[in-house]
Amino acid sequence: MAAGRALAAQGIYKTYRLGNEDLPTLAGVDLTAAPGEFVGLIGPSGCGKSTMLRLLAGLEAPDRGQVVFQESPRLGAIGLMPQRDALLPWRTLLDNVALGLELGARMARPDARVKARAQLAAFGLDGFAAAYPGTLSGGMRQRGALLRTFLAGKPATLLDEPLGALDSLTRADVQEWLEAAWLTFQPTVVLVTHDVDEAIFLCDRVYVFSRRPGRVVAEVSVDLPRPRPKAARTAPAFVQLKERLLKELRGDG
Amino acid sequence: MARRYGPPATVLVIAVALWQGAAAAFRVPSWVLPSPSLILSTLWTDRALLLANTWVTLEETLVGFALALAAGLGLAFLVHWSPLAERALWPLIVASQTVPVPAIAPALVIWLGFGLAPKVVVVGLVCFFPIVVATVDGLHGVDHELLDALRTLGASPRRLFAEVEWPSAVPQVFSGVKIAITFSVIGAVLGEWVGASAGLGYTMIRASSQLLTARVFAAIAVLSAAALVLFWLTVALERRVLHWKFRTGGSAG
Repeated sequence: MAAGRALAAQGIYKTYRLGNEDLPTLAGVDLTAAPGEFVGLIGPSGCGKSTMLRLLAGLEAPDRGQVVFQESPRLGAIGLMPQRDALLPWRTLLDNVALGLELGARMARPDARVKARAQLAAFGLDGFAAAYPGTLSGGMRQRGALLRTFLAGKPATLLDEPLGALDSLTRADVQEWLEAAWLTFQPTVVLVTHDVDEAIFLCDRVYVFSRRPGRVVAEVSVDLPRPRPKAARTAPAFVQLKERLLKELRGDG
Repeated sequence: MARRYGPPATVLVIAVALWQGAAAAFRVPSWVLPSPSLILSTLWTDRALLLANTWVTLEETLVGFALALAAGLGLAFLVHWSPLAERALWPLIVASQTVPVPAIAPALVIWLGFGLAPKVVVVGLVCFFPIVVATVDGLHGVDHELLDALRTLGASPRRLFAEVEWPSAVPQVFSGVKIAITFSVIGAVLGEWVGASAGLGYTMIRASSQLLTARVFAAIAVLSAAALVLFWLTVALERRVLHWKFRTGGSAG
């Protein structure tokens, strides 16, 4: 399993063309993630957070600025989990999870299956190995997709609102799974979310983005002990951070 | 069973009964319109002749269909992989469908003789288009989030095709194959009408010139049955290959 590696973006600009109109999406974004750090990007919808992840992953190139990462090319070295779970509907849950090992660790499928099966229980997925994604609940699919992404063993992992489609109860559960998985696999994580609670609960540091074109307007450290219990959400320190982040989001920080 | 096959069976029985009644009531000569009972008895008395010719037509159909499948998939892959091939070939593939196959069938006889070859080509021409169109549409309709997610985990283009593009196109490919297999028998008959020494199409032409109208209808009945069986076999194969889709059905909440 590769240990987390530092990931940084410097002076990133990105403009899309929509018909005859320029759509400036990112306007000078700087951010860093230390090895093994859990970093959050938070901001209003449409502020370019998802674009930032695509640029970090190497799926697209910025107009200006650069992404700094130890490995080159980045595409294939930094795992991205999109908003929808992106499980393959024609593979069973086990084989979907094993695919992370097949692709990431170049493992043959039988070996990958054995190793993946051993991880299912820890993610509350044992007993569903042979199920197809279409028969599973949203929370289970997201856990499967997270496990697949982490098992790929990439030194950095990007998560694009991975829990956005879940109801709040399931979401709180999966957040705990996610923290546990990160503590186990220790990759560098960049998480995009529009949920302030989620950002504080999961992240070491949170970048607040402005409206489009996105820029970083604030950077907030979350110094709460880990692992963070559900009860942490009502602790005074948590609530204070939440007030500060909400203020930054409104733009009167 | 009764729910599914009941209504069409009832309609069929009523139509056949009306036909039988009309043939008797209006004393239609059997060489103009044979009654269903006469067709049925002809099916039995001519069974050896019909069976021997069925195999001929079936061989033409299956060889032609296999050719159409290979050519159809090959062209679709080429068009999908190479934008140049798409621009160069796609308009020609579409234009080829405006050439009436019955009109070029006589030319095929001149070029290829009276044997298996011209029939196989006619079947192939009739069948390949629905397969190409369905496959190209299926490959183009792939979910790009799935592709991007696996790309960031290190999947090669070949792997992406095998894991994502092809499996997601298969349901559409089957739609094309179901249309093609239904037309395939008609294609073989068409090929036989222009010049043949055996087959159900040839049997029909000879029987009609001898005013053996009941035999013409008996041959038509066998042709319909053959097309239906081929269609059912395709559906059965589809259910096996796409079991993940049929098993999934709705999704759990």
